[in-house]
Amino acid sequence: MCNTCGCGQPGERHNHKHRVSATRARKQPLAIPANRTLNLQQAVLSKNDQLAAGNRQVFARHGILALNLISSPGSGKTTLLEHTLTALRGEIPCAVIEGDQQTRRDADRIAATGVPVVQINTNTACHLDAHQVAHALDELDLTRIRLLFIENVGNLVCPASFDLGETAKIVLLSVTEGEDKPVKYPLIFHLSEQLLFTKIDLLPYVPFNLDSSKQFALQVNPRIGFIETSATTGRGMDAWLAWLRNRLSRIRGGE
Amino acid sequence: MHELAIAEHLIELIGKHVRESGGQRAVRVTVQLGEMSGVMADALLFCYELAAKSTCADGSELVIDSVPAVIECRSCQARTCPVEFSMLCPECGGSDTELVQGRDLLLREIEVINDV
Repeated sequence: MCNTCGCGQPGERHNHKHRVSATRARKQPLAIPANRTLNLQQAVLSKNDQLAAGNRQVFARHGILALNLISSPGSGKTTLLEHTLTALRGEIPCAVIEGDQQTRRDADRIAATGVPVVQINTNTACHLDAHQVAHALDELDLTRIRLLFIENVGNLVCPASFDLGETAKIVLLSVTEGEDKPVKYPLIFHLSEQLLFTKIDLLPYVPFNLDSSKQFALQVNPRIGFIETSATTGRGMDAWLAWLRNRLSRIRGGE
Repeated sequence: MHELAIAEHLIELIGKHVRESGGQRAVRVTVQLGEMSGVMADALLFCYELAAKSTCADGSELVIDSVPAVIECRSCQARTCPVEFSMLCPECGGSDTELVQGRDLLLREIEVINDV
């Protein structure tokens, strides 16, 4: 139940203000005009945007860096997380929210690293939404977390349209995919803070051109940053960890 | 993709405004839809009709005015329309640009009537 007004389902977070409608103070008109046009300038948001704003407030209140990891299926999100969480053990308290259509397989892999994890199964949905994330947060002790990874459902299209309330989106692109993905799927690259190239140990064996791919990404997002990693060989992981530490230190400043 | 949830919120807002104005039904609603809002006009029209059923906006016409995306270049001050999401300034090739128009979905007008 919403603690503010008692509405809604248990555990559901809302982002609504409670204010007295101005119309109660107005006197009722004697004659109501028949037809009239109301002129407005009001932003229309989805329910998801409202709930995402609520999640964002929760993260800010707790000083949590929340990262929404988005990529095609098989780009290496879970493997990257396994190595990242192991490297940060004892240094930064982390947690993970896993999103998949079915199974707890990814959550089990994360759990093996010792980090608290919540698995969301969307069944048929192709993306996580803010409502699901809000419920998942109820299962975590937010006072003991500094860095939250949200591993979205593998999909370069739909997750881009569903704000989860995260601090930043990170898009992953493996070198076994097309280097022109950023212009073919522009929205997610446009909205992401960092583009993380994965599986770079395979570069000698694939036609992927890193510089071309970066140029494509800069076209749709001139401010995007790049990190190149191979989770399995460890190459580039230091740069990724350094970026995480730096990004975490910056949220205190409200960035 | 999420046009149904957006249509539902739109209907909610319409209902609130209609009630506050003392009216009973909305017969025509006008929105401004930015080109880069991520919302598809066709899908919004379809979902609007569904979401409006049994509300004060049931049967109302939804007019969607398309708002073009505009980027402003901080290097050469040019304001242009981006092509295929490219944020590079077509005038000077610069990358210090900002999307100044075309992201929003705005509710602009509601024509309200009272049933006799």
